[in-house]
Amino acid sequence: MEILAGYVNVFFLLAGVLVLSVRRIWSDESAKGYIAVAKLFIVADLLSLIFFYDKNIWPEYMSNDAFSLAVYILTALMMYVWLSLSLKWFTASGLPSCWFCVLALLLLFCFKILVATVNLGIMAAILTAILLLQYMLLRFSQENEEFHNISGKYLINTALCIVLLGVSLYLFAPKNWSLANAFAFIQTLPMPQIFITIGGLLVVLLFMMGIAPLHFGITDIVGPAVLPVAAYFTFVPVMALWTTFIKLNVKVFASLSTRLESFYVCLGIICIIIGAIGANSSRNLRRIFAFMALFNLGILLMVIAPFNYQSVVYVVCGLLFYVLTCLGVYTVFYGFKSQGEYLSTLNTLYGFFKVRPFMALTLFFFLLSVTNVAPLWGFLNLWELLHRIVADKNYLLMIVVFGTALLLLSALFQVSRTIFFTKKSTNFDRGEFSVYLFLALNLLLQMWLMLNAGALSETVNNLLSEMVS
Amino acid sequence: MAENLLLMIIFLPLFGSLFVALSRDNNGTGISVNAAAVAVWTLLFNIALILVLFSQMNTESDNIQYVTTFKWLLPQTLSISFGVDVFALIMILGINLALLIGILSLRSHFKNQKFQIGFSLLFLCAYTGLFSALDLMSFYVFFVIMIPPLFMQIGMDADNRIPGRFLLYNFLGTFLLLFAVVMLYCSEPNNILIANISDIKLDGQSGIWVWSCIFMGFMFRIPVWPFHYWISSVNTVIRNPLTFICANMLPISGLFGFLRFWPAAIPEQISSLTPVFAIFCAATMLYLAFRGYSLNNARDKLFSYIFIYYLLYLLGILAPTDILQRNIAYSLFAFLLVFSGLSMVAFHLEKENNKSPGSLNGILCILPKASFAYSLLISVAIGFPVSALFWNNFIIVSQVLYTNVYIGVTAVLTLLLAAAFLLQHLYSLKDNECMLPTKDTLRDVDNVQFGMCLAVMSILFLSFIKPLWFVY
Repeated sequence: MEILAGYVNVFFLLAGVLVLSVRRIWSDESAKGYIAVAKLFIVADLLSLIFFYDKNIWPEYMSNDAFSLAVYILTALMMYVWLSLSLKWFTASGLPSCWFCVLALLLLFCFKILVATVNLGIMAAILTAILLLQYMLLRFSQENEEFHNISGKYLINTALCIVLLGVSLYLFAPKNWSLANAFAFIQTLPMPQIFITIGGLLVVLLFMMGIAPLHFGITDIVGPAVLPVAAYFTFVPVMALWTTFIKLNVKVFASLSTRLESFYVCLGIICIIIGAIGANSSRNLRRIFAFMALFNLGILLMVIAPFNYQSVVYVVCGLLFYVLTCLGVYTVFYGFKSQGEYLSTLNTLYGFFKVRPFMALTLFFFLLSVTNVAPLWGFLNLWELLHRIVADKNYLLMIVVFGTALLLLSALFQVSRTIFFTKKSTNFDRGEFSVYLFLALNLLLQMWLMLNAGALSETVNNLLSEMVS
Repeated sequence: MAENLLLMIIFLPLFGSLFVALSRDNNGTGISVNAAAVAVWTLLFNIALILVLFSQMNTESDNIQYVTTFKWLLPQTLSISFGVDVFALIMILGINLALLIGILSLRSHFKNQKFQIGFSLLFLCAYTGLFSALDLMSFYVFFVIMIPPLFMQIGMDADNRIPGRFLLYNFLGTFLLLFAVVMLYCSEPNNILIANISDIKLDGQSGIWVWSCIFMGFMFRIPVWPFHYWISSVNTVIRNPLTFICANMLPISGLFGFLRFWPAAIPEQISSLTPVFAIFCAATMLYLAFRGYSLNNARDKLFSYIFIYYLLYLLGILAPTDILQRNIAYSLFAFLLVFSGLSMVAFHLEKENNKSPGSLNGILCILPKASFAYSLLISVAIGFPVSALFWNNFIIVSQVLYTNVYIGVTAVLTLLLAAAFLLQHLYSLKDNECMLPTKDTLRDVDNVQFGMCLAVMSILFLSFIKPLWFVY
């Protein structure tokens, strides 16, 4: 019975894939039907997780702790909301959603394994699977003229990632694939070889997280991709990938933390510079937001760089707000609709505020948060980073941070000017109730979390205690 | 009880702005009467609360009263503290009244003003929070969050790059202040009350950096050359009296910052530079006075007048004494009412004049109520001894003269020039020979606006007799 519960716990989502496939073969349902089934399986999977969270069939390969479970629940909820929002796009486009839902469930299955795994081999396999599934998801945008260009690039990058993962795994050797063994193995290696060994894993992970200079995996995609796909890349995998990153750094690369700290800080600096410049040089709102998000990822990376307990707690709290903000922004993007088409370039959004003031103001609120305006969450991350910088007396870095933050405000002005201060030039479609509902809930949740940030950090503290110890 | 009252005063405008945002425009005509009504009632209720708080306050004391502390947000040992002294509370009353005048001055501009009104209430909430902030963190937070609502107000009034300049200039100032705040929190990780900043031990170099950044952070709010660019460009594009009043109230946050931080314990290296800075202030005052004299536009004159007085207050604050605090408070309170009242009438005249474009000269000859109100307000503005403005400015100027006679003389000269250009302006508006026959159809200020001007005059006169006459 216990083993059965363990299997249910792991493979429940695959049953969802099976059901969707069967329904596709036997009946041609509407987009709503498939998405409803997928959402049902996500809810059922979460329930099974609650009941069978302690049933583990392969403890040597997968081991859930409180934090990984919390991350998975959050990812599943994000997937649920993402599917709900995606329904609007499928209804408007009239395209079938079965394959999309299958991909969603498969990706969620992969994230479930990814956050739980304690084996580098499984981790690499799952990362490869996620890359391939994401490529398939990208194919929903093939009507876009730029699609072939970006999908080709993405496929090449995926192939490179697979090679890098393979090299990394080969250098580790199968007997050292468990995280504990990998940690011990690294300590036996001479210095240059360590970085060659861990490099593959790290580069792939950073690419998937969209960290500069490997940010093109996200910033280049969100512009031409269709809205659900752009939304997916922006907020669905974030928590799972960062958790894997934290897990690797805490459990495998711990002995290299001093050396990696400088590396991460450098990457963080590149992120904030590219983020600030990119946000100002783009005219596509999704790309602008992707660069703004990159700026924040850079801040988070610099905060987490020392990988001490406090910094991990800070970043996990920051990531929670980050994901909610990205979700909020993309919910507003679902309101940028004219004659059934979703708009994304700035010149199509003139005077949006005049017709949809609530959505526009909510977007402004989220963008203020992303541009680190006090006392919103972006500021809390910036605050922590500045503390570190002042303690290190690294004033040059402080000038870079303030300079790029000002540049980011300039991008905020460009967006505000278009949406708020100009005359309306497009007839926008009526805002949908569910979009307003999601926005209101998101705002309330963020405000509640902000007011209880102390309690939130304490909760994260408790969740992380098992993993980080 | 009184502590809760203070919190209500801070956050009532926030709820008011939410109600304004939810209010419906009448009959789809785009006239925001409901929004204005919500805002007016919010402000009236807030003013009533402030008066109640005043009545419970020990007005003889300069100490902070009604202190409330909360554990806050950040996952650190930080907490936020609110409290007010007489200076802060009188400023809160002043900005509430000024905003009330601003909203009433929209009576002839009610179309599509809903969000302007809503943002102005948010701005008021942030401003009240700033005046009530006792600790460094909450001071910084309120110092920052007053920018976005004003940015939106300015942006809705001006579709060009100027709101962007406003945003960048002001955020540059807040980043400098943030640097100083972080430095101070690194030295003292626990809660830092502004009053205790002088207790924090900073080594020589750090002290200079921190105080320079605090100084610069506040300077970006006050239009002393070379930090003046944002406010001068903003004033040229604003078409809305409410936005004009809000934008011109922003420098008070810089003055208040100086008042709260500056006299504490600044390092010798910085304090020795105060006379140099005072020279910059005096030079800017002189420039503004000549500018006001040379320009014909009513708004430009008003702008010059407002900033000459702000710089005078700054000179008063920088004087090496704390005894001027009350005088600055009483004078600033009166000044806020005067410039809001003047803005209300000036924008009305400008709007009426736009019906038949041409010069404003002689316009007051056919608008008796506006003429009466404007004349009275100008007489107060130039220092006619009927208001708190005259008496307290007299003391401030005396102290500036006592501190540095050259700077004092320059200040007196600029005040005289300001009075001259305001009188010159009034004369041109009342010049019977310049009146154009086509202007007969112009509307006078309505009874509510006229009543507000009379109320302002009454408040100013009573304040002349007894500054805190409303405390019972």
